[in-house]
Amino acid sequence: MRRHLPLFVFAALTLVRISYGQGRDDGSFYSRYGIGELSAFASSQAQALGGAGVGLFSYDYMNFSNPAAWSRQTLVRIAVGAQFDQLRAEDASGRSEQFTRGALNALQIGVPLIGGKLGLGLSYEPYSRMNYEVSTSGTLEQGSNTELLYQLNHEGSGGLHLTRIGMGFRLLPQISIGASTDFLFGITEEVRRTTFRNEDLLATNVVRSTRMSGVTASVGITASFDGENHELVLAASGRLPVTVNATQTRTLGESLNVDTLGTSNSGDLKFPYRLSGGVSFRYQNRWLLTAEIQHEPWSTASTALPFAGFDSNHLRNRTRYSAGIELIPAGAVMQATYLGRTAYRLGFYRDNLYVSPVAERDIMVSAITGGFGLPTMFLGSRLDISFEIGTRGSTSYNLIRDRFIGVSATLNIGERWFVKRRLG
Amino acid sequence: MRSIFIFFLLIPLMVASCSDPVSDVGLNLLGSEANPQTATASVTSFSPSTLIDVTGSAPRVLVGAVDDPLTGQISAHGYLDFDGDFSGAPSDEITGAQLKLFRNYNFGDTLTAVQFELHQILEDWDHAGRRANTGLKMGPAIISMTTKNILTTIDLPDTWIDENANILRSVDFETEFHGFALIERGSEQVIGFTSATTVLEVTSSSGLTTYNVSSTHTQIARTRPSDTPSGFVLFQDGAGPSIEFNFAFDDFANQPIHGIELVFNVDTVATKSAPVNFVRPLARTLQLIAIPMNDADPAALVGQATLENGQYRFLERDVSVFFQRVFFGAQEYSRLELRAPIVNHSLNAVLFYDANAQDLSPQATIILSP
Repeated sequence: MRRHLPLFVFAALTLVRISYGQGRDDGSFYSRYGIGELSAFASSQAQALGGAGVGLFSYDYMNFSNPAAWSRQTLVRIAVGAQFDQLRAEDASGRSEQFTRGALNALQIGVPLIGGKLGLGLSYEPYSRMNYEVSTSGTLEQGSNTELLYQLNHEGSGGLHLTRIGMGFRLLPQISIGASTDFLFGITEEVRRTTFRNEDLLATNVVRSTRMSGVTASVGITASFDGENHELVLAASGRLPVTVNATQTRTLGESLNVDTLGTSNSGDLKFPYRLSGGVSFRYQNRWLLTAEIQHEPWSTASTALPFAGFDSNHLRNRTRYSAGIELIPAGAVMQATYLGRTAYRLGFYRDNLYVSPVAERDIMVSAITGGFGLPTMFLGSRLDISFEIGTRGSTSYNLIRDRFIGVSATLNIGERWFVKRRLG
Repeated sequence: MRSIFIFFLLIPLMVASCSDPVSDVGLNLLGSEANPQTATASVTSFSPSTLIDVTGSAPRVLVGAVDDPLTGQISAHGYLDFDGDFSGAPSDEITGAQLKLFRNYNFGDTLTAVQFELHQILEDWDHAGRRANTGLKMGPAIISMTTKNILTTIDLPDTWIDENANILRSVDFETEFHGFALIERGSEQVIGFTSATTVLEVTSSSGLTTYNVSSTHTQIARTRPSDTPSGFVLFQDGAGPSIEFNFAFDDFANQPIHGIELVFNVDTVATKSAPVNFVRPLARTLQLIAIPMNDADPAALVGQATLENGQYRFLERDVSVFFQRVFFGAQEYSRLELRAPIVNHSLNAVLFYDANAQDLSPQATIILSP
């Protein structure tokens, strides 16, 4: 892997560039609300299994939904992936639009400090993403016989990023624990651009930028019970509530020479805890079943700063159910055919958004997931292709129904490092 | 290794797949709150200003007096200074000197003659920024004049020529000669002489030497106050008053605006109403001026409007930019004023509807996105 490291760094930087460079691409209009659309990426394996990762132990993947899972690492592991989404949005008026976007999934690094007992985990992944653009035109009556034609654009971009560093420790043969420090940081930018056909009127480009940062911690525990052909894992993990410091600046540009207008406002955003519980069952190294429930009481979140929907009427407690199944026909037999060593995955999840444009209404998200874990010629390395097909919201109450298809590619490379070769 | 190549092949595909459409899906959720809207600001004060008009350096001087039933009794004295092309200055005996004044303005009873005296100014003076309430030190009357003509020609007496021959021939004419004062002496109208074609011509055996106007100033005094009808505020150029006012713009602090329109309604019929043969021109063009917080700082010209359909409407882009800066705290002013441009120096007047005139009171309409 060391010889591929420059390629990885290049790929990661390229993907980061892509994700930033595509910040103005369009996504769901629901990302306008709160701090944007939440995202999480435990591992490419968990992603194809509906995201049910908290109870997953694997030697081929780092699992960032539970730091306790980092205790069993035997290989230094790097994973980097990107996702491509196609979205078809439809509103109550029958208007529909198709969007595409691409973004970085995550960059994950795992290092076994004591093989199979103590492991280090490092990751960078998007935490939330604001990514929308809507446009309208209209007329404004001025006086009795003058109509002013205008064009109005609303755009949002940016989001929060999550960087984690932590360790997992195998306390007992059956029990592992883990903890990580989680840094949240990022900038969201909401733009409202208004232009008029009448050149005497000022075009305005009002930008509300919010710079945010905060620190929290995650903890996890797993209990595994294995027999001759099977392993049952019960797991739980949680993230502590976090207070994010934010500075919001309103700027006005385009037709005026004034750069920054108004004053910056500072304040806190209080995000709730996250609690996950899950189970996985592996049989003969061929079959893997996993399930997870995740809960976040977002109704307790608060801020004094103006964010669309960030109030008690629109914030919703979020509960996510997910489950999946994986089959590797050849199990652990390394001499089997390529297709026999490929992992076939299928899963689903059902979730609700933490914020709703309409008060007291949940926005439900349901999706089927799946994918393949393709073996490579390097032992311990896989290329994972995952997909998800789902819907978000409905067209009742003037809401929007998103139908989305996502495809992602993640490269997981594991290699033994720091091993002294014996001579003779 | 093959997998790694496949992975890298996917990256450009992902990049190429991205598009940048603009959608209208979601507008139902936005509603109309974010659409541009119009709002009005009420006028909080609208009254005559105590400003003394700047009349120095105007392109005309006024002379005469008028007793106007609307604007009151006003007298005006004009001051002119000259320079010339001294390469052709007379070196031989001067045989004559004429002051030629071209009239281009009337205010008052146009059938009557204007009577004034010509004096020589005895002090060096600067016309820039000189206000209408200042006079100049002058000598005794050189000659008295009565005129009704477009061109008034004043033949300067020989005694004056003899006394000033050296100055007229001097290469330092500009500094040694300080000009003439036209002092009003019992007129029924005020007339204006344009500085562009007013000349001092000196004749000698070698030919004609022409001196052009270099400085102008008009001293104006109101000897009887105006009788402004109730419900109106009088504006008068030169004699004053100009208008000072403010609008309640506090609600627009930090609001991005697209445009602003300030409208001031006037009663042109009442303004024009006058005895037979009495001319009282309307102030055609007015400027919107912002007076800084510190009176010592220069005032800012915000915009200019022409009287049309009984209204002055300030709605140019520069006006919007100015108020956008004000709303965001990047610009301050203590009050706003309506003034006549100095290039239109006159006694032109107009009657504004005051702040209590309901629909005809001064109005500010703002187009903004809340």
